[in-house]
Amino acid sequence: MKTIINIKYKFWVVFLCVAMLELVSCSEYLEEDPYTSLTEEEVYGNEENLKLLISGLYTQWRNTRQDRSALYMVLGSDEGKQGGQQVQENNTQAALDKYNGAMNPFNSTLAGEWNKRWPVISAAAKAVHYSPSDELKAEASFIRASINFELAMLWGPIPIIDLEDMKESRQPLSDVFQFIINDLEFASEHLPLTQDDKRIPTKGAAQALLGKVYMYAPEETGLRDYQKAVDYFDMMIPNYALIPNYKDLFDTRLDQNTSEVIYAFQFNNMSPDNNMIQHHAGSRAVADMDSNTYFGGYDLALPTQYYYETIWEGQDGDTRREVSIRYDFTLPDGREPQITWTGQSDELEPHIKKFEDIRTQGEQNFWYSGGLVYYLRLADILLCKAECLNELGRTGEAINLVNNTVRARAYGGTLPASQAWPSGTSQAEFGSAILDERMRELGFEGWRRMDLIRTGHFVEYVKERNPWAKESGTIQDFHKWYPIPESEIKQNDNINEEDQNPGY
Amino acid sequence: MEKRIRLLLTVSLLMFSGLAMAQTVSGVVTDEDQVPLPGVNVIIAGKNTGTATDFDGRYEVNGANADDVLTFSYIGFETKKEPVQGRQEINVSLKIASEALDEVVIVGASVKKGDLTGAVVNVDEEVLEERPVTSINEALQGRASGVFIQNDPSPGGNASIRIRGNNSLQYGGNPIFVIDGIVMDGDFNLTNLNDVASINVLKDASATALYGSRGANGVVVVTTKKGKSGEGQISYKTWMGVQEFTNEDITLNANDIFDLRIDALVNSHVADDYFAANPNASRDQFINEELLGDNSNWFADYEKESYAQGKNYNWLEEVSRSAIQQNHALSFSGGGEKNSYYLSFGYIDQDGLIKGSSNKRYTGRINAEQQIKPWLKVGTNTSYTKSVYDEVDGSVFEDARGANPLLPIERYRDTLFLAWGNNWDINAENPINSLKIEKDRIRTKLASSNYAEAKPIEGLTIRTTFAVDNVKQEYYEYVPRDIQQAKRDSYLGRAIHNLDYSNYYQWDNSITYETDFGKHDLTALFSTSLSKDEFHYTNVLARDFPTDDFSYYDLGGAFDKPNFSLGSDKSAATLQSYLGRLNYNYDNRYFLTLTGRYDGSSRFYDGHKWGFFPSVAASWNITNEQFMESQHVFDLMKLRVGYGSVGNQNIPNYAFYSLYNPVYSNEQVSFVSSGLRGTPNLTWEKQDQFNLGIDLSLLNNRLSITAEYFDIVNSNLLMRRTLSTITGYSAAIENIGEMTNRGVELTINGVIIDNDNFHWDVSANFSKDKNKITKLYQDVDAIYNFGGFTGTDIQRTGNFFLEESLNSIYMWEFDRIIQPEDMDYVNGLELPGKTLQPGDILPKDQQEEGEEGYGVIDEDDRVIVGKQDPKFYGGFSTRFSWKNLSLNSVFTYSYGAKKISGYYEGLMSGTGFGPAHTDMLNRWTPTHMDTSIPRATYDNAQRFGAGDTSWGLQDASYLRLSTITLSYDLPGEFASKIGMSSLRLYVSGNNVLTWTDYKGYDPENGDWYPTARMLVTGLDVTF
Repeated sequence: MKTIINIKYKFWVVFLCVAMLELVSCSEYLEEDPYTSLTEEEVYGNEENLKLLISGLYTQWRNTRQDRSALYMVLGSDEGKQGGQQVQENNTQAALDKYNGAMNPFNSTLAGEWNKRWPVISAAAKAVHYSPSDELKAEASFIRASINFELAMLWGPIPIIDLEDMKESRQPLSDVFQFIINDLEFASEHLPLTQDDKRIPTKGAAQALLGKVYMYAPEETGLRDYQKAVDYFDMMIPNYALIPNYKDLFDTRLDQNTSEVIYAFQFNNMSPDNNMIQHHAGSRAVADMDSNTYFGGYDLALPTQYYYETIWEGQDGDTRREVSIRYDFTLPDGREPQITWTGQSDELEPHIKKFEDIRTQGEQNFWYSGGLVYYLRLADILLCKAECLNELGRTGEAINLVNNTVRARAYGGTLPASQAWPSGTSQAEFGSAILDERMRELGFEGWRRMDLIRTGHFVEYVKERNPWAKESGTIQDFHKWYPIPESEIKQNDNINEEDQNPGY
Repeated sequence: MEKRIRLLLTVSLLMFSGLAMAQTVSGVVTDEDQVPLPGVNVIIAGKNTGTATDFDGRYEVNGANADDVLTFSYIGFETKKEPVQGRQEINVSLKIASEALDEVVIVGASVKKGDLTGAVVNVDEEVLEERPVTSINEALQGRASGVFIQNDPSPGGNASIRIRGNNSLQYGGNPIFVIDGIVMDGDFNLTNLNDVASINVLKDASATALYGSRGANGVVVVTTKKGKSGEGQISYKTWMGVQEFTNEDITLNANDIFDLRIDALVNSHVADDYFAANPNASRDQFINEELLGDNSNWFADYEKESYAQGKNYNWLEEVSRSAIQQNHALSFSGGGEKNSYYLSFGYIDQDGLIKGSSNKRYTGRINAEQQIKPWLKVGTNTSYTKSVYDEVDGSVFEDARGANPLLPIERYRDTLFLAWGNNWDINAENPINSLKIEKDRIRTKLASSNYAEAKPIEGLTIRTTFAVDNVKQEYYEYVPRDIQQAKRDSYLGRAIHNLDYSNYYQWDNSITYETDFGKHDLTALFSTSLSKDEFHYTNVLARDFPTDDFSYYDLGGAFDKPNFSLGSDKSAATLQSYLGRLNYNYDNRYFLTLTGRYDGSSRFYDGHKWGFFPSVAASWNITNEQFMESQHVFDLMKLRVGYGSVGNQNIPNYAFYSLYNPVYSNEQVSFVSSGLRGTPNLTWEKQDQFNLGIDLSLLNNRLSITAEYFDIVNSNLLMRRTLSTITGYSAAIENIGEMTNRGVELTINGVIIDNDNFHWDVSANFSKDKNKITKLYQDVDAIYNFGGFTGTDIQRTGNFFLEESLNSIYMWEFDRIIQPEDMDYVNGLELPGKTLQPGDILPKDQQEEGEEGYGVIDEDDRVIVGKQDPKFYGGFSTRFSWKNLSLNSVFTYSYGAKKISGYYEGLMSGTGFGPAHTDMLNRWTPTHMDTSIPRATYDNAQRFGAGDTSWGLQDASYLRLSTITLSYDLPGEFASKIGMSSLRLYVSGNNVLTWTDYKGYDPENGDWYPTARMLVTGLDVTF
């Protein structure tokens, strides 16, 4: 009897052991790694992967200038405003022009813009930290500085994302701007003069931006320095040249990466690399008639009357006006659009023209518009330099610079004497005239709001020149900065209600 | 090796058996009706020697000692033990076992139902057959306490199911389904319902412990049919039904819409502008000149025409229909000496209510079991399902129900998109055109569970089960070139192929040892389990085809090569578990179950993969006590108590890593963060569950009652939390917080009348549970759910507030409809960019006078206005029968849940430029101020919408007559005359009546589709 039991016993012990071993031997059974993703270590720990990560950052950064985002900051300024139907339909977005009660920390349109930018900064900061090469580090520094600059101008004090010294609460603007300057100095030292890949910034871009930062830095930071700005501009200006015709800048059929371009966001006609801006800048009256007409759209942003009329008074012969603004809505096939069901007459009032992409005509919906979006181009830098010279008391030089470059080109290459700024212009007159000149040259290219903020004219001009703000009459000084989004305050332990911009 | 050991064992046995006082025993084995049973196993217990009965039920065993015990076992009958006690002839009769009810096959082992000391609800075949439905979930609805089911009325749609409320914040609300031992969390509804013998819903920790790593949200154990021994059976069941929408008509007709728009425009800036320019004009002048005049843009010519002619156009009717459904199920079953088989085939053909939509399902199953050796049994439960869906683009229904009733169908049948007024909206595609979009989905599923079970010595069972569950889905789509979807996106035809594969396998091994000594019964179980779930897919999208004729078949013919896109991915997850379980019972009075399980999951990082989850349950069968012997009131009185924990790991794979994916853009590939921040210390979510239950049966089992109380504490909750984007990520999955879930459940069954001809029984169940978040991370008292277009709006649901329900609704509270006398107050308020007028909705200012924020309506005034959980829910049913006629009805109910009806809110926008709810007829006007319905106005952005405040919140309470069935069973003698053993005929109505205040389509299904009612006739025959 005992033997049987033993044999049975052994058999089952063996069986059990086999079964158990099967399990135990698979101690790696629970190891599952992703098949089609890299982990953070794999990305940042390998130079090739890091390069591809930074390449992704260019796309993410570019996409802050895509679709509606390209125009949100134009709204509520003195160059741009929303179309009537947009205001009729969307109360939150309407606040961007009206500066009323809905312009608050809960404004999701603005919060969306804030949220779009930080992940790029954060990833760039990691790239700066882990980069094995100075050049990659310079690229990442440039991206971080550029976005920080924009955020600090529009939202005021912001956190400083630096892996060596993280500060997730709002930091004084002087620290923020110093941080931006440090990044750009590093970038200007280590970026090459030219890049085959146009998405990657050059030394010139870093120098130009550095100059602008010295010029735009709020005075209270103590960092504004017109001389330094001029110095940096002078380093890069010789490497660039204005193209002869202003209109060619916006002709998508030509190679837009010209000698004038210091840095441009690269788009094309194919999703997801189309800029989609025309979709929001065009006219609904046209869109409803034919959605494959290249100047159709949905009236998100239209020029203010100040922009499409006032600044051109006395500027007969300036070629920039017809290039920047569409006044005529006759379709290429001769059809005349009518005001649509919305009853909004502004559908046929002047529209922004710089985002039209004639390549889509008859072929694609205007949503596929894909011209380049300029970030830094020489005309901007020349005007900046002139403005700095004027601030430095060198008004004469400034006048010559404007007359001989930007204005001359605007009038077809030769500036009529009647249109030349007189040499007797005072410093104050110049200071005021240059702001309008910048508008004529750079309308809707993303600088106007910052120009108003840095010169302290923001509230004064917007209240007068933006029709919605004027109608609402609620804009106040504190509106020069956007509110810190409530979603940030609720989710960031280091930013609380009391850290909100005053007034909100 | 196994064989050799067997041989050795047998030889040894023969050798040793000679030494004892062996004798020969013989006899006849019959069933209770004295019919001889062939093939019954007769074994000398503990010796593994034995034989089987012959065709006449006779057997003869050699070598039985006087003190041996003979075991008689036969599939489908209860096993009987007879001590030899020196007898030479032992005749036995075996009782038919309702094995399906008494034995539950769990993962890797089978367990007697009586051993389940936890909270279990059983739904048997008979109950399942009462509703002519096609999926497990639908059949369960209203039939089991603690089980909350919400139907999906689209053809082949999956109903959602919750057991004991929500026990995870976001991950794994659904229970798992264990079908013949295979764990499934999706596609279980592809199972042919006619194959199902019983469904057990396991609700508490002790019961679900057997499925530990995945059972935290309850387990639905489905057992399919087995063949019964004796003569084979052929059964055929069929039903055919006609389905129709019952309440699609909740919107205004053409005439009323026209009037509504006039009213809306009168109350708008359009009128203000007009009167500013024409100060002396009358209202009629404004209407006739500005609105209806020849040059007016506010009404289109076609609208004025339809209005004048009194026409009303129903676009939804144009694309919908009465839908026919049919169901056929054929099965063959039987069993012999040592085997049983069940073979079945099923065919379901459901037409959808939208033209062109349908679902055809083909199923096949083989369940077979074979006693290969007296000690070894093998078997399989294998099924194959092919489900073919002919889908209709979602825009068909959406656009049709949103279409303008003033828009003449005959004239605009071929237009690209539809209009309200002169707004020809490029996003309102012509639904008749959208029917041309081809969408075909084919799902095939092979589920096969195969086992070998050995009983080498008395009491010991070893079982190994290997199961696979493979689901393949093919999806094909073609959008032709001539419809708006193609025009808008500038392509000439677009084809999509998506192929998904889900491959799952599971290997379970168990050893069970059962013994009894004296009054002690002990069962010990040890089991191990491995499973792997693999998923991969391939997608192709191609644009621009030379012709629409090739549909989606010719991907190579696409000529827009730059927009040719490909995608694929693969992911896998594994689980590994060890389980030990001890069932002890003393004298059938005291029962104890101890379980410990140790689970590992690949979804957690090294060092956090494993979790230990113990549970204990005890019960006391009071009726088996001596002191209860003299009473005749209670047939059963059993108290149950259990406490234990289970784990949940149902999160996306690889959440412990921050991941980067390649993205192609601008002719360059780059790595982009997935947005999710990895959480390396992520680990098991844990549910500690306490359960107290009582089972009563009294008055000769005429009345039975089961009551349960449960208290669940969920800790280490797995949650996807949105992050400040300053972190560089948008969200992270983390173990956050704690939540409790408490409730009671009650089930009552009563036989009211039971005599020869007349029978009436009633059963009812009631469930109530309450959910509360008791802890969030650190000292945070709220976690907000940010969403919307930019991901920065606080959503109305999905926010987590301390001490509140998980399903709270957070928004402005409705104060009142503004009356003229309120305007002073309203004008004094600071509003978020709104200009309010009498007749508009006013949100409540939550601050008192003097408090900060008083007089301001802003986000600080948002509060919890209700919750989506029902206060209680359940079902009841009743069955009358008179002779062979019977009438069954099943009701389901839910009380107290609030629901957001986005559809209703949209219908209340009141602009007259979109569909409107019939409630708008009762709208506020200066002459009709005593109403709760806001005024009409075209300037809708100026005021608070129906969905901004709790005004639009719906009471989703309902009582529904889910099914009523009248059936006739042909008396046995007539049936046999026509060669049948049984025949049943019935007519049945599904979703017959609903009582509710809900204003959208359906309080239960929501607003995706209107409620659908079905009338069914059916036939069941058995040969």
